[in-house]
Amino acid sequence: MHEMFEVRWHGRGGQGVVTASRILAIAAFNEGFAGVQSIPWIGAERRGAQIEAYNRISRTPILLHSQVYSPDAVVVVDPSMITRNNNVVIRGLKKSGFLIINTAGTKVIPSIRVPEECLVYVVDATSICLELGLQAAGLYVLAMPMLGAFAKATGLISLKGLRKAVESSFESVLVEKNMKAIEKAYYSTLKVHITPEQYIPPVPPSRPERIPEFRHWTDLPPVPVSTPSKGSIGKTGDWRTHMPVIDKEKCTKCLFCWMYCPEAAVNVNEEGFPEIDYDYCKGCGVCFNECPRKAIRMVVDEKK
Amino acid sequence: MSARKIYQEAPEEYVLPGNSACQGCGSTLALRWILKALGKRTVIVNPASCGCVYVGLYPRTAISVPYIQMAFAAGPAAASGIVGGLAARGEKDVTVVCWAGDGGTADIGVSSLSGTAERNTDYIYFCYDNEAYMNTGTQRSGSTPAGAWTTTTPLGKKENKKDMALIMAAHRIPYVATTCSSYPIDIYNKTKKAKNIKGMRYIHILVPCPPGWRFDTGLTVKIGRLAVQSGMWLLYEVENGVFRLSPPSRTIIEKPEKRIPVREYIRAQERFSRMSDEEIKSLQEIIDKKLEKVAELDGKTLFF
Repeated sequence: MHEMFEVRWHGRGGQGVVTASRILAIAAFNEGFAGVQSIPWIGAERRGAQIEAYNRISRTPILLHSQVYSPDAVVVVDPSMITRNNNVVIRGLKKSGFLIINTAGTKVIPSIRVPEECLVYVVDATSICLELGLQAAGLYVLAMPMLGAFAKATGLISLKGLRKAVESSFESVLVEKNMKAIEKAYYSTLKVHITPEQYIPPVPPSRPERIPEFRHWTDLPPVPVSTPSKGSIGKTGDWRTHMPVIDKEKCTKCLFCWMYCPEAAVNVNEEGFPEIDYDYCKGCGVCFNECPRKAIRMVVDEKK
Repeated sequence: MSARKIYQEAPEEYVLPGNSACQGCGSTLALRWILKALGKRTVIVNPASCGCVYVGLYPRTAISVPYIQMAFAAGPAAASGIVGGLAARGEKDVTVVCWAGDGGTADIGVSSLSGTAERNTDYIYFCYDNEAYMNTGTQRSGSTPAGAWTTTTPLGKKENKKDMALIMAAHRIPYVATTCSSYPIDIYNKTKKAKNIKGMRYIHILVPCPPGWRFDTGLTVKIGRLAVQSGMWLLYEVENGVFRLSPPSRTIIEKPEKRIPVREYIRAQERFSRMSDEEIKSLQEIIDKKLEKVAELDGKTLFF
């Protein structure tokens, strides 16, 4: 093991990324590591937005207090992140580091590019959460099973250490549910074979850009005015685990789904039928609950 | 009015899909219907709140009307400045709106809000009430109901909710109304009515918040409806001092058999999980007494 093991978590707000990073730090401390850190990076965003969390684990106390720029392991909680922007996710990943991805099947694997000799592990955390109903306030806590995958892939911490950390962080009812998810993930994590074409030269750690200096007010850029546009923060369809599907035979064109959609993602077509804009539907399920004829079903989004 | 009729009347969307609001956000749903009622000639001032985040980051925004972000305490002050500016330029058909959260209304912004009400500035103030500071991660506000969990009241809040709508009605402004995001048609009608009134108008909207109130994202509309049907939240208007109940609240007062026990509303959310059965019982008694009093008030002048 290196002197200091650094981890970067990629996930979306509400998926339990920050909690999982904290539990990993507690577990590592219980295992006898003298220096542990858990750092959340959330920005000004909320549920569904891309967030990161960092861990540092070391045998000796750590004096460095910054974000992690060159991680030894990257944990990707939401597979849409790596398919959308591979470079952001693997930025700074060390040669022969670990990449642990939550994905069903191996469809996303061919599109991944990693630094040389990286070890790629996959686990189907989404189905584990669906199966166990591991939810917090309406969202699936995908990051918890990823802890099990992390333990299996890196061998840095044991299930026993994780159990101790989970017990100290949750109420008794939630301990078993979370542990079951972690254990299930631990035993179902698979190593994936990566072909040499998928290796890329090491990506240098990103540095923040220098802010230009202004000497006179006339040098300032014009007043920033944002322009209205659809998808101002990108295609929010990536956020959902379930997608609503309208059954046209049962639909009576009452347009309740259009009326109650908080996202304005329901359009009305020329025949008067509602149509869901899957690019932007966040899969909240309000239309499913409000449809008076039960013409909307929620099905698991298979695209990921 | 049916949803289909409203679709024919106001098909235009001013809150565009792909914004960064949480899944099932009640506040975007409310804002969507307010802007449908007000139309394109609207200027929104938004003191610090979730609204500052879900409009998106520069250079793009999700709201297609002018949207000005303002410091917490200065929302109403900025709005009155814009009213003055528009008057100086001779633009008469522009509606100025202040869109603020309950923290910015009941706690931090209350003094400048009270000032604009005293001067009877010609604008509409909307308070979207998600009953805590949700933008910064659920801290208690003056508008949090007794018994609710927040991060700063982990055992449940002891104090009662501030009744902002009645405080504003006591300023004797021409129009005060309360509504809820689960009744989009009610929001639409009240906003249309407010648009045609001169002077200060105040509309208080209850918006359920899935991450802060801790319920499934798909139940946003259901929970808001339970709040109204149980009598926990009342829909009414105070027009020139005359108090008048709105249809959904009048129904539960005139027909007690249609009233839903408050227990159902409380137990549907996790934030009230600290409330014991006895506390719910006493809350039910308080609500029953309140509804009796409100029934007497209906159609009468509130203040002399």
